[in-house]
Amino acid sequence: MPKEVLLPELAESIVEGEIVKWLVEEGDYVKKDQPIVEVMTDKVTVELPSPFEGILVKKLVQEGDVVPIHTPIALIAEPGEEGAEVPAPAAAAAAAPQKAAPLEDEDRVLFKPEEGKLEVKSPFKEAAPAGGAPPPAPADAPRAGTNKYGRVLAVPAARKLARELGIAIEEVPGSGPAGRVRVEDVRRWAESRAAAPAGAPAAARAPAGFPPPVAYKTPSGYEALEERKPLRGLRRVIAQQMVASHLYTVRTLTVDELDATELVHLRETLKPEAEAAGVKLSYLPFIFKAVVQALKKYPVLNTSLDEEKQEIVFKKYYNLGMAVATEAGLVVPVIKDVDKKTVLELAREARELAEKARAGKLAPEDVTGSTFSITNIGSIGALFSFPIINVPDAAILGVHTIQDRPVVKDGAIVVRKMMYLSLSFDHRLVDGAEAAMFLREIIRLLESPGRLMLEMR
Amino acid sequence: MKEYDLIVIGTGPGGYHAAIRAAQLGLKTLAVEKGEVGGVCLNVGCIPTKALLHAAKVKKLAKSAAEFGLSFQEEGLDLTKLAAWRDQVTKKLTGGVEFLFKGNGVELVRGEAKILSPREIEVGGERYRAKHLVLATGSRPIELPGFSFDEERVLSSTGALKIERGIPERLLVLGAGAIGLEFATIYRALGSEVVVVELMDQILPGADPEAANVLARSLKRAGVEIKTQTKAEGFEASEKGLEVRLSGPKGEATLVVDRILVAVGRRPNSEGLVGLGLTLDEKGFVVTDERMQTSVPGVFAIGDLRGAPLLAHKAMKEGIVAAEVAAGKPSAFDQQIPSVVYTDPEYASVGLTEAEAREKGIAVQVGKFPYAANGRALTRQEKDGFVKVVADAESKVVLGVQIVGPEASELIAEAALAVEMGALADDLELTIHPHPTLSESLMEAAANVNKAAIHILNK
Repeated sequence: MPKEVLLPELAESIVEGEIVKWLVEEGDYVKKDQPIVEVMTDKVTVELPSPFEGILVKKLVQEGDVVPIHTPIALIAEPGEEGAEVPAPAAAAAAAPQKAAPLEDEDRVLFKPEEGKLEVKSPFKEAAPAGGAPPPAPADAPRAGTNKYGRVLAVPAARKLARELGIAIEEVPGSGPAGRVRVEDVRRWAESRAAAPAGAPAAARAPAGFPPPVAYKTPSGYEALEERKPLRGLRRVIAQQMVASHLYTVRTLTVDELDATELVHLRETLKPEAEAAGVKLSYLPFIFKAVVQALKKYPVLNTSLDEEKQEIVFKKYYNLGMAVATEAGLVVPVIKDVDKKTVLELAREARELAEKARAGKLAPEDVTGSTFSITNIGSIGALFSFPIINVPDAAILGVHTIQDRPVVKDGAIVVRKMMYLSLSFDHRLVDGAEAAMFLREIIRLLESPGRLMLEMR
Repeated sequence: MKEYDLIVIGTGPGGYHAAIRAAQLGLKTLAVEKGEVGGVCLNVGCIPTKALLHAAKVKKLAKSAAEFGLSFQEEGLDLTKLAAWRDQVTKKLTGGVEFLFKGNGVELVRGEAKILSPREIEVGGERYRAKHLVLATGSRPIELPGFSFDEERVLSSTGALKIERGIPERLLVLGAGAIGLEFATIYRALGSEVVVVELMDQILPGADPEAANVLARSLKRAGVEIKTQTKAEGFEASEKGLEVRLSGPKGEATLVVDRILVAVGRRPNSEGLVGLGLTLDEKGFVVTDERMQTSVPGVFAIGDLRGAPLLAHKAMKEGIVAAEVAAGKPSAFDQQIPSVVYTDPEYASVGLTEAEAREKGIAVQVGKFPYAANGRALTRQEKDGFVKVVADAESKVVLGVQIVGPEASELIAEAALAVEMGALADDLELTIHPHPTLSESLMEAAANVNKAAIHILNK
């Protein structure tokens, strides 16, 4: 009897995953613990091992699908049971769209045996009975129409595009005569869906008067010079995160500059010692420490807004996300409990996480739970940038290149090692004065790192 | 053992479309055929009947030309030559399919496929494995109790094609569907006296009754007798011929004929597939979803095997869908299927008839235009028939089109596009149709929905 492979809880607080790539085909024989599918959650891709040995008779979800945890994603039959019938339509189809209740088993089983509901016969023993329910309609198959004609009015090209984008044509509002769905309608719908944060119902997504996303149209004559790629995987997660950040925070910027001359000197001095300890010392650990000190002084920067409960969550722990550019896209691994770690420890951990990120080997717990984030633009060379908040954090600090610049000090022009700092903060939680003072505090600590030593806890 | 991505069993319209499309998409494809490539359609269905209907049409035209002073000598009909020409057309097309197989890299193996598992078949002692199996085994004529096919006295459509065996003086056709009426037209033109018996109360059950009426009148004028609401109970052979017992609204009667054609429907060739554990419906058709996937993963069913309507163009599209789904593409069958009866005049329909729309509770506005008011039809001596556009009264969305008349089979394609595009009657009306053509009738019928047809009085 085929067993269902369920999408497991990949990490705490993760409720869904995107099926990135099937690693086996229907009909393939899989060994226990053989990776069968790549699943992405919160920017991390993991390979799911098969919970048992057998023949993968049916994939229940398609690549690109985003499915809640505990959703059956495949059926695996015992060896010798090849070609067993697919379970009755109701069971598989009904399970997929809703969030399944967490299983009772404490050790998070990946699968559960069927409970006799699904009649699965060995196909070579007896003839199939006449009649019976039709097989399940896959998600992208046309459903019964919802209008009085019993069939959605749509031009054939729109139907095809909808299928390609995995959209039910019934959902797409048509702009043609009598509500006919046109190609542009499908495209616009797909874009609005991609832009909305996952899980938000269509109706509740945007307040009245909220304009729909701009429909993209190829300038005529340039059709052959464009290439299209589906918005999938990490890019889609990033897009969703960014839209959520852009739409649901009130991002405000404050800028200041730091005289890093002493900090540069300190690092030069400590570098050989750090190297002796096997650590390549950058400025980042010092900045981490200064940020945590400043966060302790201005706790409102270390908060999140729980919109559902209408409460501001003040965090007494200091987990710093650090933006890392990788080949696949931006990820933000998190260094936990920065306040309890030494500069050396932080340097080592930052390097390890960055390497893991670039190798695509971050675990789900590596990218969750940040309370504040830092993005280091200096390493690439931009003069100045306006970072976007890593939601649900309240703020993000942009760190830039240290450069020799002329500054006026005690009435004279001197060359100092200067760095711009840009702080993006959510004005719902943080006011401008607090943000400016927070930034000043970081500067105060970093301009004379000795103070950092004195005040660091 | 040879390994493939996809094996198609049966190379009728559905099967060869599946095979070619699969190969186009880069799947290693094997097609299995136990009879002739092209299946029923190319060999004993669509194509040879249309060849014979063409002969019937030319014969009629030669006769009707006398109206404008052009007369032909009755040279007689060489049945052997007609049969040879019919076979030549068929051969060209089946050869074409084989050429396309070769050109696309589809392997063809001849013989009966024995299905060992959803992934493995045997043909002529050789085993073949594939990731996907497409069943396209088609259908065959249904026998009526008391009228078993012997293809001598009681013919199936396949036997009826063999006109080279002689044209009976008197032919009884059981069933006034597309197949029965097309053969009634052929045999009548070739000289038989033809009686058509139908159990339902109109010919072409399900078709627009008004259109069916026009067709019935034309058939009667050509000399075909039609008995609706009549049942054939059985027959005995005597020296007079085949004495067929009929029972109808006026009681029982005996009809003496020389041959009987049974055309009461077709049944799926699904018997050889039972071991797979496929879900079948009560008529034995294989149940699939819109992606042609059966209840057994990796196994697809298409064409007549999958059920009504048993039409080649439906099978073709289904074949394409099966191949695309097997290749991992998001494909599904969700089109409207036009239907055509190649009688004289032809009948064609797409979408809903007026009656079907009303049954669904839709308020409809019907536009109609008669061929008698179409200049081109008159120059062709073909004034029988009309075009009917069924539109939603409120939105004017074209829900269906029925045509009875010359070239209905060709004109329906434009109507199919209109229905598929969700066009309004206005869209058809506002599209300029060349003059003088039969196609103007569709434009005018659409205009009549808005009471704006020019060549008739809009009522």
